[in-house]
Amino acid sequence: MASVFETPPVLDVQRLSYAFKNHRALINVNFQVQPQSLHGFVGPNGAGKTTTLKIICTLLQPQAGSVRVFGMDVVGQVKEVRRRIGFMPDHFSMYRQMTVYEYLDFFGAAYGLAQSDRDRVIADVLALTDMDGRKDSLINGLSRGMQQRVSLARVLVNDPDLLLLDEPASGLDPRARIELMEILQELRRMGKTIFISSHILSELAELCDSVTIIDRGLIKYSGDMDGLLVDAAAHPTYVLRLRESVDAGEQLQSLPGVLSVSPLEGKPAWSVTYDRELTDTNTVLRGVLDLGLPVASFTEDRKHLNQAFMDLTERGVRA
Amino acid sequence: MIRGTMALMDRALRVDSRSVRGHLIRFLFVGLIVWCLVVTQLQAMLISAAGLEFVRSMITIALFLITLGGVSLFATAITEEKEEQTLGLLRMAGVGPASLLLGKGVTRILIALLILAAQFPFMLLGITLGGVLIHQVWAAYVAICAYLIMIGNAGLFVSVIFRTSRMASFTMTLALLVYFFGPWLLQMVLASAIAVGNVDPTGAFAANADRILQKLSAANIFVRSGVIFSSGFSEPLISFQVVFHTISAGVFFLLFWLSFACFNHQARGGEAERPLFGRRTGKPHWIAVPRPWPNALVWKDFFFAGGGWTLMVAKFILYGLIILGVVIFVEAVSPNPSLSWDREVLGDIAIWVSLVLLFAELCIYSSRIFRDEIRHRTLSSIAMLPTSIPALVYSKWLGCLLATVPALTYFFAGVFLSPEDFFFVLEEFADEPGFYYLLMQFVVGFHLCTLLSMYIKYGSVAVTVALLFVGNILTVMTVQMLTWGTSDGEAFFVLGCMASMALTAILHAGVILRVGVMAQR
Repeated sequence: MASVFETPPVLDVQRLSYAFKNHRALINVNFQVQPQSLHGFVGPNGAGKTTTLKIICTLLQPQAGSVRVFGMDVVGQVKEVRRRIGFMPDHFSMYRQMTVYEYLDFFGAAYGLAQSDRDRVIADVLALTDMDGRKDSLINGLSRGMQQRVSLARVLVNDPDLLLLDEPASGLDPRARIELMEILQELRRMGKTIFISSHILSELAELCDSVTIIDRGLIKYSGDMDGLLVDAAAHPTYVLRLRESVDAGEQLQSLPGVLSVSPLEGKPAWSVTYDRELTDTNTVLRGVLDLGLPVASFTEDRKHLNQAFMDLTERGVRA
Repeated sequence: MIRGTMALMDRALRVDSRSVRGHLIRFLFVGLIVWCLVVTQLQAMLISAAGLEFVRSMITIALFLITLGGVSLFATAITEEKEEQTLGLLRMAGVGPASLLLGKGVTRILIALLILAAQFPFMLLGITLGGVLIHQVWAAYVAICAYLIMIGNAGLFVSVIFRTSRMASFTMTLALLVYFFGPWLLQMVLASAIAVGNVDPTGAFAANADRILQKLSAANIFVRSGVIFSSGFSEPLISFQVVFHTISAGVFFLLFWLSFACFNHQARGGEAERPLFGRRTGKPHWIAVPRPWPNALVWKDFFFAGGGWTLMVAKFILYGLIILGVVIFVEAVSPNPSLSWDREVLGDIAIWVSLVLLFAELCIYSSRIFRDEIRHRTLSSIAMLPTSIPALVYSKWLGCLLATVPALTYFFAGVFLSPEDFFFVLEEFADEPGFYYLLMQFVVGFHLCTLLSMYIKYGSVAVTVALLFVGNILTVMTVQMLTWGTSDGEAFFVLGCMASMALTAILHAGVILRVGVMAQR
């Protein structure tokens, strides 16, 4: 199931288990995260994502198994691990009576940075998060999206090599989400390893190199994104958009390997599902063009990822 | 209105019935009464009027707890809805001021009355132990119920006015201090004014002022309980105190109703507030928060929990004025008033006033230092710093202790002004084990308050004071019983000191462990 990594992993979780009183939050969890990658950690609510993150960031101790960050044990080398990581919790954890600059300055000093270093680092992280214009604003007066940026800036103040982000996009409007994702991509380009949790797989699909799916404390998949699609979807679905409304249902259905065709309500578009064993995307697209249809676009249906997620995780809410 | 009221009452009673803590408190309360009864029964062989002693101590404890309840439980009834930002939702659901008053406030008063009712049968047992009449028990209960209703409604009114539980509790404490000590202080001023000839003792002003102040004193519940438990008590059950408190309760009820809309038209909760100081940009250098110190946690708590330099200056001025006010008052009410102040008097007052202020500041800090981190969910962020939990706890405490410099400065100024008196008192106390026991009670109290603040949202100071007060009464009664009244107290204080030190160590470890646990949430 898990892919084989060639370089030493930044994060190595082996046989990790954790239980809260009567319920087992994590059961024999194994996964690894490669250096300088953006790794998604996806699961429904209550799957064990936050518990795993809290163990990685040394707030909780594993009851069984081991977690190593840059080869260091999270139980035996707590301070060393903390210096290399930055954790952003799933809630706003901020001193709202401080200004943005005071808040970052405080954490910089708490990590032992000299004042001159802090000036430079804070300027950098404010620029990166596009908050330099609001550095003297009280955090209390910032919007949710801005507070999330400040929270991310705080995580970056000690220049961590591994960023642990617990559902950073939750509660943000679409624009703030996109901006946040752009910042994360920029951070990856800067060489950071990013471990990001979410309960929405499609949200991370374009962003992540690799993904781990967890459900009810059990790892359902861990590896690269393409592997997830190969494993979970033998029947990919694409959306064919036309420039004008054409009744192309029967023509599309006649293409080799196409399993089903259905019109998208109210749009000149069709949902096309094919059998991966009988054909491939290029062949289907060539067939569509040969039909002479006025093609506007031919894109992978992201709902398909959600279907993969649904297939891997069990239905219903955990008792 | 009925629907909203019933929904709120239903919720309050459900929450109360499901709360293990609530049942535990009631169980402990009944256990306390039974234990006191056992002790009193054993003492009945040694002292006369054992029943009177029992009833008196039980009523005193009840009054004390009600007073603390007024500061914490009642004064936070509405502010907790504001802080949790649920007041707006309740109002949108059609719950009006009257429903809120009846559903939230009256439920709390009813719960307190039920506890009193549960206590009543035990009080009747006091009659069989001798020294107290049923009439006195009834009178005490009527007085205490009137007091409870008054303080409950006053607390609710305060909780309507203020946005935060902290401000509501603080204002309620001040109001109660004025209620208890105001008439007494004014009587002293009046007596002094008459003594120096500023007021004619036979004039209408002196007579009327004296009459009013005596009436106000009679409305004091502790004065009333003293009257009730005096020998030969035969006054009617409905006294001036009962009438005064009942009318006051009605007035507070009306004020609550009328002022609710005025003070709560904006659904604003208790957001984080910036203390007195300004931001770095665009402010004079001395007023702005400086860059973090090498120990950033000390810096943070000094400036953002303790108020920083600006609040320190404000405290220097305020404390100085308080000390000055007390000196003027003492001189004014002394037999030979004078404007040329005695250095020793000034020093003595500075010492005692600064100790009281220091105590109050430490109470506030111990109740806030971790509660605020939990409330703003920032504990996990600072627990993630590359430092140990004990280092984090001590750094935060150090930041708050720095903020007590004004009180400490006035204390040492007092020692400098009156070294003879200070060292004389110190020498006297140094030989008394009771002095060390008292000191240890403060140390235990601050630790207990810090620990409790991480378990309960509001009123950790009140609960700490209640636990220490009741715990000490219980301990003293038990020691008296075990030694058959022959102990001179010295052995008790020595043992008490040792027990307090052990308790402090346990609480200290408890605070550190609890911070670690709360950081994981």
